[in-house]
Amino acid sequence: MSSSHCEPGTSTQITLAGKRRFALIGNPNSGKSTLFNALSGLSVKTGNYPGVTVAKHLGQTRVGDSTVILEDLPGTYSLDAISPDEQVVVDVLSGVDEAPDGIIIVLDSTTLQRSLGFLARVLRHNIPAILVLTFTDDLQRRGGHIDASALSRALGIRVIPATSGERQGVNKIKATLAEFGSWESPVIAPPADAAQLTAWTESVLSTASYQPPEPDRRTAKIDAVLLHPVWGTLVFFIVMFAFFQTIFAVAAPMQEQIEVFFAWLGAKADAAITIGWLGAFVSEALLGGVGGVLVFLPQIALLFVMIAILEGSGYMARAAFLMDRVMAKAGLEGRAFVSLLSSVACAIPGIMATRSLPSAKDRLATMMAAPLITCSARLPVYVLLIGLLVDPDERFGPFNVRGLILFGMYLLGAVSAMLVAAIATRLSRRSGALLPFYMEIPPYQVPKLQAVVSAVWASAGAFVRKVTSIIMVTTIVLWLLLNFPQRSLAEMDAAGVDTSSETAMSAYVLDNSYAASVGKAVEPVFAPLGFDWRINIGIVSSLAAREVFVATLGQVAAAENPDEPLTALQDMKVLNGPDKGDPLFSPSVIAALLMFFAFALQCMSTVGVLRRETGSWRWPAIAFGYMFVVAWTMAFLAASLVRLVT
Amino acid sequence: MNHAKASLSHVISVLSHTQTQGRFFSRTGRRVDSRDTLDRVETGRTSIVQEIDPQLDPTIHQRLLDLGFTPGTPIQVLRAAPLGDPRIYRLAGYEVALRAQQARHIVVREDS
Amino acid sequence: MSATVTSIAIHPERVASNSSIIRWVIPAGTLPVGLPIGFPSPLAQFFTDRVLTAGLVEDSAVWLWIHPDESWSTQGPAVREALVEALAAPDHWVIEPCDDAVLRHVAQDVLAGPVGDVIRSHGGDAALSSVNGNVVEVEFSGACSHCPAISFTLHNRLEKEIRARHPHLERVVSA
Repeated sequence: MSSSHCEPGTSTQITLAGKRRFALIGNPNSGKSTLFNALSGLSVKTGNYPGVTVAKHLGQTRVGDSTVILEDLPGTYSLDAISPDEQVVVDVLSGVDEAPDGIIIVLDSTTLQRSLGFLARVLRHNIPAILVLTFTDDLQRRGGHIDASALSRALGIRVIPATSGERQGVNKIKATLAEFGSWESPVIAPPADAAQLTAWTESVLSTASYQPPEPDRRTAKIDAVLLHPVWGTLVFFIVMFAFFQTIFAVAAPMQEQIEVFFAWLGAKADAAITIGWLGAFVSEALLGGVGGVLVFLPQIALLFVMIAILEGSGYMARAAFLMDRVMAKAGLEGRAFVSLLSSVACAIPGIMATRSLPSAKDRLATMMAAPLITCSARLPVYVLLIGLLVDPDERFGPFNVRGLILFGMYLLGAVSAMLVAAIATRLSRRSGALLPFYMEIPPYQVPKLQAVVSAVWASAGAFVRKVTSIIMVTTIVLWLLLNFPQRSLAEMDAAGVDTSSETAMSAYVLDNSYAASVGKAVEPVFAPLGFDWRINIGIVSSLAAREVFVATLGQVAAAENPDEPLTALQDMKVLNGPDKGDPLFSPSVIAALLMFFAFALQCMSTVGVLRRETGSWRWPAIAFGYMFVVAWTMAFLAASLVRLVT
Repeated sequence: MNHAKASLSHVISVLSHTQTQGRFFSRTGRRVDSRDTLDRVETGRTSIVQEIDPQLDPTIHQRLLDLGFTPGTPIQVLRAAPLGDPRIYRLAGYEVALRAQQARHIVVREDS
Repeated sequence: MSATVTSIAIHPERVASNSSIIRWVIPAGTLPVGLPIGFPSPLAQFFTDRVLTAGLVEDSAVWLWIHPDESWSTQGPAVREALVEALAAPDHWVIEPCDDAVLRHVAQDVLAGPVGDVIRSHGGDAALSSVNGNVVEVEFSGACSHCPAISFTLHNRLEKEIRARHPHLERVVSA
């Protein structure tokens, strides 16, 4: 897999003409997005705000006899923006783009002492507003209290109490949206001055008989273990271990079934289509290429299930808290850990997760580092290369050597990412103010099924779209380049090819294909690493997505020997030079390839996302450049080293 | 009455603290600056926000206010990360993790 | 101590019947209940300038009337600051008790506000008929007037609400 299954889809416009627009605004963890999903149902569309890549979530809902547009603004604690997400909220409120008709302020009723100041600053923008108080059931459970109607009178706006997961609150909100014309507004805007604001907050809360909740006892009990210096650290490693185990072990049987299915489908197609080259095209290029990548669907789905569960339960904030000191060594903060962890799936969600980092420098440093983390697109490449290098049963002590090397590659990715982050933060430290680190530690919750399902649905959907577009096109083009120009029997006879052998004929077509010319053109760059043009084709094509390398080598091998592609790969010989006749995939070449794929930014989707996230071509160019140089150098060193010891 | 209380506590502090270069050692042996800051409050204890360092960058100053660190707010130190930093604080009905680097800018007084 | 000023906790609320009045909720017991005739200096200026025209003090609120030519949304912030300053000097207010006048306003506001809402939501209505010697007379009509249970509850609640704002209330009676 790779990459842009996680790209935000192209902005799907919901027709805005004549429809009222309401924006949801609130603190992170206030239940705002849950409410947005409950209000919008399946109508949610994701796009981007112009100029920045802050995700824009639009939905619609029917209120009374009309349809209204809902916009879920990014969660923020403040209207003094220090991150792009927060800037979006400020811009929407001040009407830089187009101010919404009304706003739905969503506040967690258990944290009103903190968030009423935020509400005051929102109200000062003089946009018609209502307040939705979430988690009122939690407030009550924890011994707190609020008089919503007294609060409404004190604020001068309508207040709707809501509990998690009940329809009543949602219906009440819809009914209130329908009465937009008669919304009350504060008689005098809340004060701006800090001391007066504190006094205002105190006065409003006491009028509303606000009783803040007791600390959540359940959370305190869980945290006593999960954040314990010893047990907490232990649990953290167990959770991370389980995380990877699930992604790789649980997904494996599902992946096998997909593989079997596509092999069966390919064979059927090959048998059914009587035109020789078309049959090969459908079974090898279409089904082979797409199937080879769709194999990663279970992994991606599982990864997002787990991230959604960790996020929804509140553990992700704890993990970031536990990892903060370690991340600080690289000049980053705990939340960057979440981004790097997501990068294990794919650098794209990892890069997009940097939006939660308030510091622009931290974001940049994390973005430069994230593509080095071993993403799941590298996995099939590593598996193929390690498979060529080591026998399946070879052991080192109690450990399987293949597994050890794979683990080493993951470690290499993590360590080099941290190093790059450290270098990047050191380089940028010279400029700008130091931004604060703060992170809310929310009470534990049972993750919402709806949130998990929608996270998986969105990511799996985007991945399937990507497979059926970018990767399909790439594999088709590649197949054509590898198999054309087609040669007539007469031509081959003239060239002295043994026309009685299918293998010899395929090899001749391949050696004289368009792809061969491309591979040969870049040969000077990769020759020092021991790569020949056949590997080069793979490298060039893997720019589309790393896993395409596997598909390409498969096609190259299949073109040489259509019946036994894997054997063909192992039997491939160096075509010329002093080592002519030796196996092409020698240990030194495999080592070089492993290093190359560990470091090179062979993923155009990542480049594209970097461009969008940073707003210029500068950073993706720097990332691509530095990673290529490091990749080439490391590959060269690895190849030389292996040649020395073998 | 506030004045009376303040001067009384002042007298007590002068009597029970040995002054060394502007720093005091309290009866509990805890080192207290004449300006005590949140990062120095022991885990488990509660203190009251007095002010946020006025010299702090205005944006960060405002952010700390928005996070609830307003003067008069009681703050309990809940727990520290395995390596001592950051720490989790409870205030205004919620919990937030801050590094010592930020907590240092929050001037507190003892909960009386 | 630090230079941070802790302000007196107040906030404005609407008075249902009249948009020229704001009911500033203040800490309970700051001022004696009654009609103010003398204000401390910054607030007094607003009366001299005819921006504000009248005032009323209940147990935990100060009502201020604004001149019809002025608007609360523009004058509000300045009045707020002046009021906070004035509340810091409660001794400088001159307040006449005038219990019945204050009670009339309070009772009317309560009937138009939360308790009235409950009555109206049950299909009834209640109107103030008179205030005399700290006794408030209310006329219940519609659904509620026939139901002794509801009128009893409402009656109690009404009495409680009014007394919370004006401790001198003797009792509420039905007309």
